Amino acid sequence: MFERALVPLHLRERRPRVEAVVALLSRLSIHNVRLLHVAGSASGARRAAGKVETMAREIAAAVDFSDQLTISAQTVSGSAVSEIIETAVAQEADVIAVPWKRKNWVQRSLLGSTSLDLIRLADMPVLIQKTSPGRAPESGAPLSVMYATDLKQSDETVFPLIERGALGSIRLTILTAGQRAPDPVAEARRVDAAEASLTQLAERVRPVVEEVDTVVITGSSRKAIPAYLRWNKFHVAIIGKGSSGSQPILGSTAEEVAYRSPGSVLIIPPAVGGEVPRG
Amino acid sequence: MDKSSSGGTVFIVSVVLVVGLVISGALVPDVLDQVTSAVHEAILDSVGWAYLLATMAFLVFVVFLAVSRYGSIRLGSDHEKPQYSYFGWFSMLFAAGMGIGLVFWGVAEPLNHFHNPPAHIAADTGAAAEFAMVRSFFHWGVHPWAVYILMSLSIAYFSFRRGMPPLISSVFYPLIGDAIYRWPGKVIDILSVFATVFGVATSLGFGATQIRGGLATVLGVPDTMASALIIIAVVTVLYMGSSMIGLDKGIQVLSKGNVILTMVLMGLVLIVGPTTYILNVFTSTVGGYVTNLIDLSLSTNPFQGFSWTQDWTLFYWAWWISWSPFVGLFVASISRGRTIREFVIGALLVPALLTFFWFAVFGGTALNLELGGDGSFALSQIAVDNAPRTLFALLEQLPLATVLSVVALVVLGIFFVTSADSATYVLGMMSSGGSLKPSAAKKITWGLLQSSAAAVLLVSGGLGGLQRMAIIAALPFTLVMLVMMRSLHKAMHYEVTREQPADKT
Repeated sequence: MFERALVPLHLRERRPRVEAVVALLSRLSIHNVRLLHVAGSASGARRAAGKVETMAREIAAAVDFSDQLTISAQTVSGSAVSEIIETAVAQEADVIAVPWKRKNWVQRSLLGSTSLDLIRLADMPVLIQKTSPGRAPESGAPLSVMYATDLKQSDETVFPLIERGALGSIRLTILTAGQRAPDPVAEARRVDAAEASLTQLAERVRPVVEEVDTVVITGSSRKAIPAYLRWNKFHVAIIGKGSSGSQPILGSTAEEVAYRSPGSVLIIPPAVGGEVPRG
Repeated sequence: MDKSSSGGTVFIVSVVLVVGLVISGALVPDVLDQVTSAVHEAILDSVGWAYLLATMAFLVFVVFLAVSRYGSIRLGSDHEKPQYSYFGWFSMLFAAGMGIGLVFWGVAEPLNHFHNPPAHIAADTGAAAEFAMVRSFFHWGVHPWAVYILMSLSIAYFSFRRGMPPLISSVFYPLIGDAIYRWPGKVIDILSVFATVFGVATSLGFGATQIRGGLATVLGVPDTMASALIIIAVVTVLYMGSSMIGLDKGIQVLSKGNVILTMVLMGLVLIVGPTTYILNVFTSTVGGYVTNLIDLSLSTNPFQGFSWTQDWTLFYWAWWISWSPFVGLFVASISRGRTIREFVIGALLVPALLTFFWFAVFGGTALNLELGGDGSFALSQIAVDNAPRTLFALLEQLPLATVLSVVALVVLGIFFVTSADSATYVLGMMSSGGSLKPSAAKKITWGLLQSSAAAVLLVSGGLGGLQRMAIIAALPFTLVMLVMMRSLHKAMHYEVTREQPADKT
């Protein structure tokens, strides 16, 4: 099970957005949330400490599941991304959860994006929270979760989390995207093979998941998965973070899905030292 | 879905379009001429550079395919043997890809460049001669073959390797899936038929005028419109007969015989012409061509001679692209069983070398006469004023003139027949949902239609307009071919990464 989460925030962050992150984390069985502010300097960190503490208290009072959650606050100084990762490791956090702030291409090119940098650099699960508070899952209803599998390495790291019920009560759609084969016969063979693999995965999680669907879509995963997510709403999409030859130039599929998806996205990195993420 | 079900739509729409445009070319040739000239010039003016970039991209791509891991993929099943011998294959490649055009322009083009080079080169000089030969090599060298190879390789891969119908639309399956069976696929196939009919019809029209010029020189046949129409009628009967016999016996036998005759004609001119001079021209022009290949490939000469580049290089590039559906489909149909590496290297180098030698022999001989002559440059003037007669005007200046002219006439006639024959076969295929054995009725329909188009437009003066129409079709086809590159690469990548590792286990 996920237990501890680190939520980076800056001081101008609107409280409802942070509350939405915490609410979603509570649905993912998280019990311990630490709000983290990274200031540019030590003096800035000292000045900000009180504000962050106040925000933690206010959120604890506002969130429905606050009785099951411990919310604490911490302020550090330094480079945002590296401090977040270092703190998450030091605190033995299971996941870093970030409220998403959409930036266009120019903004990303000039200013960078902490969320996308975290996805790229963190060796632990990163949750990008995009669901607005008004569209948050109803209390008690299972979360609708889509897991996009590459039918390869991501299953080894992501699937154990689902099998162990780490995500709490969910309705699961397992999806795989693949390039269309060169001819209709080969394409039918590809789709059949993918469906068979998805069915096997579905059977594995049926004991712990209320509903399981499988979907095979055609196209490059970078484009097809975000397109599918635009037309089919899920509370959370889960995708494994792999590595590909074009990653340094084009970014990973996980980054692309995180950027394009209208809903929240949980990115699970490859197993570190052969270990799957704790859950 | 059964792909052949779409053949009817493609056939009917294409026939209606072709007949409509031929009628408009016959009734209002001036209007057709003005409209096509305006569109044609606008295209070359504004996006001519894109033809250069695209063609260079095609060349780089096909060379990449040959040297990469994709090179060992066979156009057929893994252990399939080639259907035709190397000689039969090369002969048909050459006849379909260059044949009649090469005979037409072999002398006329170098002399045109020599006499009318861009403004920064002095006309009728050694520098102009060098420019003329290098440019002729460039226009007829590896670039047109790269265009043809991309088209034919794509069709052959998807047909013989992947079991799809040999149609241009099939190539796009990896990108658009079943939409190839709906309107996007049909539009591509109709555009292919359109470009092929008009390309072949104009080629036949101009070819007929050249045969007429040859007959006038050798036999004193009157150089009239009636003669040209009789030539078209006779050739139509011949190629329809060849077409009915089939690919194996008809086109292959004619192509092989004609390549032998072409060699004989080249050999004779090499012997009776300025032999050492020709060999020097060949050697130094190959050197100049290879050395300047990148510069030639990407230069639109914006600072000097852009209009020259527009009139020649950009015109050729658009012409080769508009010609590519026909040559591509035909070459694909004769290339089953070859590996991609073998196909690319063979189709890129052998026809290009034969073409270079043809230009060196005929262009070199003509330039030798012009540079060493009395300064009247009469031959060059003929090339500019009456290109169809240039070859025979040159042969008249050589020993064994009558023999050479008769052989040239036969070569021209047979190329005429093989071009029309293979076009008929290809049009039949395209409008029969990709059937490798199109019905006789469809072949007869297309055969008569393209000959009628050539004859009617020759009489009305609408042939130039029709040619420009074919070239205008090159613009959408350039886009189609760029997408085709992506589709082919995607399919091969899928095969190599997803299917071959599985096959080996």
